[in-house]
Amino acid sequence: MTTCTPPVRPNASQKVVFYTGPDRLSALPDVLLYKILSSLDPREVAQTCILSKRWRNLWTSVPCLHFEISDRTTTFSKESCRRFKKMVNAYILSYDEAACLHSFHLSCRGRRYLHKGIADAAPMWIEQAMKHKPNKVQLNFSHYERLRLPDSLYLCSSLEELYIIFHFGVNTIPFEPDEVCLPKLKRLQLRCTSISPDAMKKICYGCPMLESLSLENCLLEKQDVTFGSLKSEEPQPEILLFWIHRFFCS
Amino acid sequence: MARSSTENMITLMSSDGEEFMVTEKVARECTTIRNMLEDDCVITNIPLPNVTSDILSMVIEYCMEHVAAAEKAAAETAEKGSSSAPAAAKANKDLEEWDKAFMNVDVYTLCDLILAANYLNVSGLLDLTIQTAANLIKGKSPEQIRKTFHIQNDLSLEEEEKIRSQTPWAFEKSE
Repeated sequence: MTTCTPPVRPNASQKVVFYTGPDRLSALPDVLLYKILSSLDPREVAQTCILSKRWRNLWTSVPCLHFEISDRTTTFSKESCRRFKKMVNAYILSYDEAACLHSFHLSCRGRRYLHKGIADAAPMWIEQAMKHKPNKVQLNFSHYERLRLPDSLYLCSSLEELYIIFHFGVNTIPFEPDEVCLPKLKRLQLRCTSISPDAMKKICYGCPMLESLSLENCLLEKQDVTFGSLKSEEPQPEILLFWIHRFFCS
Repeated sequence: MARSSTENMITLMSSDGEEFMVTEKVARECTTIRNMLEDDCVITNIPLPNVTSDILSMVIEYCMEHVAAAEKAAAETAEKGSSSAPAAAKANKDLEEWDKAFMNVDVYTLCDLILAANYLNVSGLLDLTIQTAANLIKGKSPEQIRKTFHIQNDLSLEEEEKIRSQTPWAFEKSE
């Protein structure tokens, strides 16, 4: 796992090198505490802010953020949606400007609550996350036609892995970036989206390092789609399922 | 600790001067040591000033167990031509059980193991210890976390109140 070097923070307690007290956990360097915090729920991570001075700001620069809500869980309710939205908003806006975000994962599953404002807020959350130059972004959304992903998602100089995964149904959310410039992107996965030849071309030219492209349940428009050695001639708009490795042509 | 006399032995020296003889294979589980050996192949004595003997012996125990498990799996594969899935699954499960039992340590040892695994770059052990620490935090209130890890709360009541009021959403109770 690659981890970003955390910014040096002006916190006196962190300068203690040879900690002799019984609290070994707080004496660990930031980078190791980030690893521990990265596997916790964001709300639990934020709660560590009142443990002690040492912990006060750690949560605002944890390099892996994973926000997830699903209507399949038993605790799902209108209220849990409201809390989720409030939490993601607050967390994202509190995130340390100088911190380096390694991975950002936003998963909003289920139809009902998307109408309650999460889909409206999601582009802003993604926009904010992209400011921190993540290496990896994974977005899982239920089928929802009003969702428009922000342009900054396709113009990120640090992004190496991008997964845009829609659930329920096929293709009504078009993948239509104005411009694609992802010079470090190695992996791209799109699921349940419609892709125009023009968008395909943008991916080909905008992602020179691409090693793996996965399209699953994607609708390619009627025209032939030619790139590299792959030529797909579909007489009808059709659902295609394929994996292509090292497909890119220069 | 030697399994056969033909294997290269390496001596690892802890910060408190204790010497541990291990096979090169076991030592190589530590990426930090592997890199040293690759830079200078005649090296046989490695001082590790950041690791105490207690912790070093545990790291070696972990590496030996994982090397033995990998060797056993490889031997079975060689014997039968291909590894049988149920046998491999059982071996994995056994190793997981072993890891779990190995993690039955106090929080001080756990934190020292995290540091040592990070310093020696034993990725499996680092993941295991980090996950164990995360599990000790999961589902606990801040007060319970302080208790578990003996964290001294050096925030004044006013400071703590102020921080809580700045992040009220983090402390909202679910209905």
